[in-house]
Amino acid sequence: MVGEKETGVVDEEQLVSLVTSAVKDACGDRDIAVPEDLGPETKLFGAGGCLDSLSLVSLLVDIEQRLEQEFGAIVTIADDRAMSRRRSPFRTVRTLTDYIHVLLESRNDHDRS
Amino acid sequence: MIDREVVVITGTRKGIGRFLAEHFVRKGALVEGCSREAPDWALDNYTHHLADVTSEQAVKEMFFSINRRHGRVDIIINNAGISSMNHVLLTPYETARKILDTNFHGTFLVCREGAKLMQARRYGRIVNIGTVAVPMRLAGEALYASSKSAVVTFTQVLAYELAEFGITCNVVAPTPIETDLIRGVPGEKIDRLVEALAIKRLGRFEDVANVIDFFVKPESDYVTGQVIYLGGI
Repeated sequence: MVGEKETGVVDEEQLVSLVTSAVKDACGDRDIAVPEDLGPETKLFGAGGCLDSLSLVSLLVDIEQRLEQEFGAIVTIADDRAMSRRRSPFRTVRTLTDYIHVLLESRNDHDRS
Repeated sequence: MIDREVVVITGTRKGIGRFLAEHFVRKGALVEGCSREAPDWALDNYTHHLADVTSEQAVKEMFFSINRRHGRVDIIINNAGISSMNHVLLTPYETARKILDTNFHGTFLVCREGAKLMQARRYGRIVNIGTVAVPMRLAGEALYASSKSAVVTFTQVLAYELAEFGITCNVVAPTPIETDLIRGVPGEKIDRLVEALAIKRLGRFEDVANVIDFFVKPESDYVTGQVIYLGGI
Protein backbone atom coordinates (compact mmCIF):
# COMPACT_ATOMS: atom_id res chain seq x y z
CA MET A 1 0.00 0.00 0.00
CA VAL A 2 1.37 3.42 -0.90
CA GLY A 3 0.23 6.96 -0.31
CA GLU A 4 3.41 8.93 0.24
CA LYS A 5 3.84 12.59 -0.57
CA GLU A 6 6.88 14.83 -0.75
CA THR A 7 7.21 18.54 -0.49
CA GLY A 8 9.80 20.96 -1.74
CA VAL A 9 10.62 24.66 -2.02
CA VAL A 10 11.41 26.12 -5.44
CA ASP A 11 12.85 29.62 -5.96
CA GLU A 12 12.28 31.95 -8.91
CA GLU A 13 15.65 31.27 -10.54
CA GLN A 14 15.13 27.51 -10.40
CA LEU A 15 11.68 27.94 -11.94
CA VAL A 16 12.96 30.01 -14.87
CA SER A 17 15.71 27.46 -15.45
CA LEU A 18 13.22 24.58 -15.30
CA VAL A 19 10.81 26.29 -17.71
CA THR A 20 13.44 27.35 -20.26
CA SER A 21 14.92 23.85 -20.24
CA ALA A 22 11.45 22.39 -20.84
CA VAL A 23 10.82 24.91 -23.65
CA LYS A 24 14.03 23.76 -25.37
CA ASP A 25 12.87 20.15 -25.18
CA ALA A 26 9.34 21.01 -26.36
CA CYS A 27 10.77 22.82 -29.39
CA GLY A 28 13.20 19.97 -30.07
CA ASP A 29 10.46 17.32 -29.90
CA ARG A 30 8.39 19.11 -32.53
CA ASP A 31 11.17 20.47 -34.77
CA ILE A 32 10.46 24.06 -33.75
CA ALA A 33 13.42 26.49 -33.74
CA VAL A 34 14.46 27.33 -30.17
CA PRO A 35 14.21 31.14 -29.68
CA GLU A 36 17.76 32.56 -29.78
CA ASP A 37 17.42 34.73 -26.68
CA LEU A 38 15.40 32.22 -24.66
CA GLY A 39 14.74 33.79 -21.27
CA PRO A 40 12.02 35.26 -19.05
CA GLU A 41 10.66 37.57 -21.80
CA THR A 42 10.43 34.90 -24.50
CA LYS A 43 6.91 34.69 -25.91
CA LEU A 44 5.56 31.17 -25.65
CA PHE A 45 1.95 31.10 -26.81
CA GLY A 46 -0.39 33.52 -28.53
CA ALA A 47 0.70 36.48 -30.70
CA GLY A 48 4.39 36.09 -31.56
CA GLY A 49 4.71 32.93 -29.45
CA CYS A 50 7.13 30.16 -30.42
CA LEU A 51 4.79 27.26 -29.58
CA ASP A 52 1.69 25.87 -31.26
CA SER A 53 -1.17 24.50 -29.15
CA LEU A 54 0.07 20.90 -29.13
CA SER A 55 3.61 21.86 -28.17
CA LEU A 56 2.13 23.99 -25.38
CA VAL A 57 0.28 20.88 -24.13
CA SER A 58 3.52 18.87 -24.16
CA LEU A 59 5.39 21.71 -22.46
CA LEU A 60 2.90 22.04 -19.58
CA VAL A 61 2.84 18.27 -19.01
CA ASP A 62 6.63 18.16 -19.07
CA ILE A 63 6.88 21.01 -16.56
CA GLU A 64 4.41 19.29 -14.21
CA GLN A 65 6.55 16.15 -14.33
CA ARG A 66 9.78 18.07 -13.73
CA LEU A 67 8.21 19.79 -10.73
CA GLU A 68 7.23 16.36 -9.40
CA GLN A 69 10.56 14.69 -10.08
CA GLU A 70 12.90 17.50 -9.08
CA PHE A 71 10.98 19.11 -6.23
CA GLY A 72 8.28 16.63 -5.21
CA ALA A 73 5.64 19.26 -6.01
CA ILE A 74 2.38 17.87 -7.37
CA VAL A 75 0.46 20.61 -9.22
CA THR A 76 -1.94 20.95 -12.14
CA ILE A 77 -0.76 23.90 -14.23
CA ALA A 78 -3.80 24.05 -16.54
CA ASP A 79 -6.21 24.45 -13.64
CA ASP A 80 -9.51 26.36 -13.55
CA ARG A 81 -7.82 29.59 -12.50
CA ALA A 82 -5.34 29.46 -15.37
CA MET A 83 -7.96 28.66 -17.98
CA SER A 84 -10.40 31.34 -16.81
CA ARG A 85 -7.92 34.23 -16.57
CA ARG A 86 -8.57 37.04 -19.02
CA ARG A 87 -4.85 37.15 -19.78
CA SER A 88 -3.43 33.67 -20.22
CA PRO A 89 -0.54 32.79 -17.89
CA PHE A 90 1.03 30.89 -20.78
CA ARG A 91 2.04 33.99 -22.80
CA THR A 92 5.71 34.20 -21.83
CA VAL A 93 8.28 32.34 -19.78
CA ARG A 94 7.87 34.98 -17.08
CA THR A 95 4.05 34.84 -16.90
CA LEU A 96 4.26 31.06 -16.79
CA THR A 97 6.89 30.97 -14.03
CA ASP A 98 4.91 33.59 -12.09
CA TYR A 99 1.82 31.43 -12.37
CA ILE A 100 3.66 28.28 -11.28
CA HIS A 101 5.01 30.27 -8.34
CA VAL A 102 1.42 31.17 -7.36
CA LEU A 103 0.39 27.50 -7.63
CA LEU A 104 3.29 26.37 -5.46
CA GLU A 105 2.58 29.08 -2.91
CA SER A 106 -1.11 28.21 -2.65
CA ARG A 107 -0.13 24.56 -2.35
CA ASN A 108 2.25 25.38 0.51
CA ASP A 109 -0.47 27.49 2.17
CA HIS A 110 -2.82 24.53 1.83
CA ASP A 111 -0.24 22.15 3.31
CA ARG A 112 0.33 24.49 6.26
CA SER A 113 -3.39 24.97 6.99
CA MET B 1 13.07 2.52 -15.53
CA ILE B 2 11.93 -1.09 -15.18
CA ASP B 3 11.53 -3.25 -18.30
CA ARG B 4 8.14 -4.78 -17.46
CA GLU B 5 4.75 -3.46 -18.50
CA VAL B 6 3.03 -1.32 -15.89
CA VAL B 7 -0.75 -1.67 -15.82
CA VAL B 8 -3.01 0.69 -13.87
CA ILE B 9 -6.47 -0.62 -13.03
CA THR B 10 -9.06 1.33 -11.05
CA GLY B 11 -11.64 -0.28 -8.78
CA THR B 12 -9.58 -3.39 -7.97
CA ARG B 13 -10.92 -4.15 -4.50
CA LYS B 14 -13.33 -6.77 -5.83
CA GLY B 15 -15.20 -8.07 -8.87
CA ILE B 16 -13.85 -7.62 -12.33
CA GLY B 17 -11.20 -5.15 -11.19
CA ARG B 18 -9.65 -7.77 -8.94
CA PHE B 19 -9.93 -10.37 -11.69
CA LEU B 20 -8.14 -8.08 -14.15
CA ALA B 21 -5.41 -7.30 -11.61
CA GLU B 22 -4.76 -11.03 -11.16
CA HIS B 23 -4.99 -11.56 -14.92
CA PHE B 24 -2.29 -9.00 -15.72
CA VAL B 25 -0.03 -10.15 -12.88
CA ARG B 26 -0.25 -13.67 -14.32
CA LYS B 27 0.82 -12.23 -17.68
CA GLY B 28 3.97 -10.84 -16.04
CA ALA B 29 2.98 -7.20 -15.63
CA LEU B 30 3.43 -4.93 -12.64
CA VAL B 31 -0.10 -3.94 -11.64
CA GLU B 32 -1.07 -0.80 -9.76
CA GLY B 33 -4.65 -0.74 -8.53
CA CYS B 34 -6.82 1.56 -6.50
CA SER B 35 -10.06 1.74 -4.60
CA ARG B 36 -11.59 3.87 -1.87
CA GLU B 37 -11.32 1.07 0.70
CA ALA B 38 -8.50 -1.41 1.29
CA PRO B 39 -8.84 -4.82 -0.38
CA ASP B 40 -8.86 -8.02 1.71
CA TRP B 41 -6.35 -9.65 -0.61
CA ALA B 42 -2.75 -9.13 -1.69
CA LEU B 43 -0.62 -10.32 -4.58
CA ASP B 44 3.05 -10.27 -5.59
CA ASN B 45 3.72 -7.59 -8.22
CA TYR B 46 0.51 -5.82 -7.27
CA THR B 47 0.49 -2.48 -5.45
CA HIS B 48 -2.67 -1.01 -4.03
CA HIS B 49 -3.38 2.70 -3.68
CA LEU B 50 -6.09 3.97 -1.38
CA ALA B 51 -7.45 6.49 -3.85
CA ASP B 52 -10.87 7.77 -4.80
CA VAL B 53 -10.89 8.37 -8.57
CA THR B 54 -13.09 11.44 -8.04
CA SER B 55 -10.31 13.14 -6.07
CA GLU B 56 -7.96 15.03 -8.38
CA GLN B 57 -5.27 15.16 -5.71
CA ALA B 58 -5.53 11.44 -4.95
CA VAL B 59 -5.28 10.52 -8.63
CA LYS B 60 -2.29 12.81 -9.14
CA GLU B 61 -0.52 11.39 -6.09
CA MET B 62 -1.14 7.83 -7.30
CA PHE B 63 0.50 8.53 -10.66
CA PHE B 64 3.30 10.46 -8.96
CA SER B 65 4.04 7.39 -6.87
CA ILE B 66 3.87 5.07 -9.91
CA ASN B 67 6.15 7.33 -11.93
CA ARG B 68 8.69 7.56 -9.14
CA ARG B 69 8.84 3.80 -8.64
CA HIS B 70 8.49 2.56 -12.24
CA GLY B 71 9.01 5.57 -14.54
CA ARG B 72 6.32 4.36 -16.92
CA VAL B 73 2.67 3.48 -17.46
CA ASP B 74 1.79 1.23 -20.41
CA ILE B 75 -1.84 0.32 -19.87
CA ILE B 76 -4.75 1.97 -18.06
CA ILE B 77 -8.06 0.22 -17.44
CA ASN B 78 -10.75 2.48 -16.04
CA ASN B 79 -12.86 -0.10 -14.30
CA ALA B 80 -14.06 1.80 -11.22
CA GLY B 81 -17.76 2.37 -11.54
CA ILE B 82 -20.97 2.62 -9.55
CA SER B 83 -24.55 2.00 -10.48
CA SER B 84 -27.96 2.72 -9.08
CA MET B 85 -31.04 1.16 -10.67
CA ASN B 86 -33.96 3.47 -10.25
CA HIS B 87 -36.76 5.18 -12.12
CA VAL B 88 -35.69 8.67 -13.16
CA LEU B 89 -38.58 10.20 -11.24
CA LEU B 90 -37.31 8.54 -8.08
CA THR B 91 -33.60 9.26 -8.54
CA PRO B 92 -32.12 11.69 -6.00
CA TYR B 93 -29.88 14.40 -7.44
CA GLU B 94 -27.08 13.32 -5.10
CA THR B 95 -27.22 9.81 -6.60
CA ALA B 96 -27.08 11.22 -10.13
CA ARG B 97 -24.10 13.38 -9.20
CA LYS B 98 -22.21 10.50 -7.61
CA ILE B 99 -22.71 8.25 -10.63
CA LEU B 100 -21.42 10.92 -13.01
CA ASP B 101 -18.55 11.75 -10.66
CA THR B 102 -17.21 8.22 -10.39
CA ASN B 103 -18.03 6.83 -13.82
CA PHE B 104 -17.25 9.85 -15.95
CA HIS B 105 -15.19 12.40 -14.02
CA GLY B 106 -13.11 9.63 -12.45
CA THR B 107 -12.39 8.18 -15.88
CA PHE B 108 -11.44 11.63 -17.15
CA LEU B 109 -9.02 12.27 -14.27
CA VAL B 110 -7.29 8.88 -14.55
CA CYS B 111 -7.00 9.21 -18.35
CA ARG B 112 -5.61 12.74 -18.06
CA GLU B 113 -2.99 11.98 -15.45
CA GLY B 114 -2.05 8.59 -16.91
CA ALA B 115 -1.73 9.94 -20.44
CA LYS B 116 0.68 12.59 -19.16
CA LEU B 117 3.08 9.77 -18.28
CA MET B 118 2.32 7.74 -21.39
CA GLN B 119 3.00 10.62 -23.78
CA ALA B 120 6.57 10.93 -22.53
CA ARG B 121 7.31 7.48 -24.00
CA ARG B 122 5.01 7.92 -26.99
CA TYR B 123 3.18 4.71 -26.10
CA GLY B 124 0.03 3.82 -24.21
CA ARG B 125 -3.13 1.73 -24.19
CA ILE B 126 -6.24 3.07 -22.49
CA VAL B 127 -9.30 0.86 -22.10
CA ASN B 128 -12.47 2.29 -20.60
CA ILE B 129 -15.48 0.28 -19.54
CA GLY B 130 -18.88 0.88 -21.13
CA THR B 131 -22.08 -1.12 -20.93
CA VAL B 132 -24.68 -2.77 -23.15
CA ALA B 133 -27.22 -0.67 -21.22
CA VAL B 134 -26.32 2.18 -23.62
CA PRO B 135 -27.50 0.62 -26.92
CA MET B 136 -30.25 -1.36 -25.14
CA ARG B 137 -31.76 1.82 -23.63
CA LEU B 138 -32.52 -0.07 -20.43
CA ALA B 139 -35.30 1.41 -18.31
CA GLY B 140 -34.13 2.01 -14.77
CA GLU B 141 -30.55 2.67 -15.83
CA ALA B 142 -30.88 6.20 -17.20
CA LEU B 143 -28.12 7.71 -15.08
CA TYR B 144 -25.77 4.72 -15.27
CA ALA B 145 -26.19 4.38 -19.05
CA SER B 146 -25.84 8.13 -19.56
CA SER B 147 -22.61 8.21 -17.58
CA LYS B 148 -21.25 5.38 -19.74
CA SER B 149 -22.41 7.17 -22.91
CA ALA B 150 -20.29 10.06 -21.74
CA VAL B 151 -17.38 7.65 -21.27
CA VAL B 152 -17.80 6.39 -24.84
CA THR B 153 -17.87 9.88 -26.39
CA PHE B 154 -14.99 11.00 -24.20
CA THR B 155 -12.94 7.96 -25.24
CA GLN B 156 -13.61 8.56 -28.93
CA VAL B 157 -12.54 12.20 -28.76
CA LEU B 158 -9.58 11.26 -26.56
CA ALA B 159 -8.52 8.77 -29.24
CA TYR B 160 -8.07 11.68 -31.65
CA GLU B 161 -6.28 13.88 -29.14
CA LEU B 162 -3.83 11.21 -27.98
CA ALA B 163 -3.19 9.44 -31.29
CA GLU B 164 -0.13 11.53 -32.05
CA PHE B 165 1.41 10.39 -28.76
CA GLY B 166 1.07 6.71 -29.71
CA ILE B 167 -1.76 6.21 -27.23
CA THR B 168 -4.86 4.26 -28.23
CA CYS B 169 -8.20 4.62 -26.42
CA ASN B 170 -10.99 2.06 -26.66
CA VAL B 171 -14.07 0.83 -24.83
CA VAL B 172 -15.20 -2.66 -23.92
CA ALA B 173 -18.91 -2.74 -23.10
CA PRO B 174 -19.88 -5.83 -21.11
CA THR B 175 -23.24 -7.46 -20.64
CA PRO B 176 -24.33 -8.03 -17.03
CA ILE B 177 -21.84 -10.16 -15.12
CA GLU B 178 -22.46 -11.67 -11.70
CA THR B 179 -21.00 -8.82 -9.66
CA ASP B 180 -22.17 -6.51 -6.91
CA LEU B 181 -23.21 -4.04 -9.60
CA ILE B 182 -26.22 -6.13 -10.65
CA ARG B 183 -26.95 -7.75 -7.28
CA GLY B 184 -29.95 -5.47 -6.74
CA VAL B 185 -31.48 -6.05 -10.17
CA PRO B 186 -34.54 -8.36 -10.24
CA GLY B 187 -33.86 -11.80 -11.78
CA GLU B 188 -36.60 -11.49 -14.37
CA LYS B 189 -35.13 -8.21 -15.61
CA ILE B 190 -31.74 -9.88 -16.08
CA ASP B 191 -33.47 -12.78 -17.88
CA ARG B 192 -35.18 -10.37 -20.31
CA LEU B 193 -31.88 -8.63 -20.94
CA VAL B 194 -30.05 -11.89 -21.63
CA GLU B 195 -32.91 -12.91 -23.95
CA ALA B 196 -32.27 -9.79 -26.04
CA LEU B 197 -28.63 -10.73 -26.63
CA ALA B 198 -27.45 -12.77 -29.63
CA ILE B 199 -25.60 -15.09 -27.24
CA LYS B 200 -27.99 -15.87 -24.42
CA ARG B 201 -25.95 -16.02 -21.26
CA LEU B 202 -24.55 -13.66 -18.64
CA GLY B 203 -21.08 -12.35 -19.25
CA ARG B 204 -17.94 -13.71 -17.61
CA PHE B 205 -14.87 -11.89 -16.41
CA GLU B 206 -12.87 -13.81 -19.02
CA ASP B 207 -15.02 -12.32 -21.82
CA VAL B 208 -14.02 -8.83 -20.74
CA ALA B 209 -10.34 -9.74 -20.27
CA ASN B 210 -10.25 -11.25 -23.75
CA VAL B 211 -11.31 -8.00 -25.43
CA ILE B 212 -8.97 -5.98 -23.22
CA ASP B 213 -6.08 -8.27 -24.18
CA PHE B 214 -6.79 -7.46 -27.83
CA PHE B 215 -6.98 -3.69 -27.26
CA VAL B 216 -3.74 -3.54 -25.26
CA LYS B 217 -1.53 -5.62 -27.55
CA PRO B 218 1.33 -3.60 -29.05
CA GLU B 219 0.10 -4.85 -32.45
CA SER B 220 -3.25 -3.07 -31.88
CA ASP B 221 -1.63 0.30 -32.55
CA TYR B 222 -4.04 0.92 -35.44
CA VAL B 223 -7.15 0.26 -33.33
CA THR B 224 -8.48 3.29 -31.48
CA GLY B 225 -11.77 5.03 -30.70
CA GLN B 226 -13.63 1.71 -30.90
CA VAL B 227 -16.39 0.21 -28.77
CA ILE B 228 -16.78 -3.57 -28.56
CA TYR B 229 -20.08 -4.75 -27.12
CA LEU B 230 -20.12 -8.23 -25.67
CA GLY B 231 -22.94 -10.71 -26.11
CA GLY B 232 -23.82 -9.72 -29.67
CA ILE B 233 -25.93 -6.65 -29.11
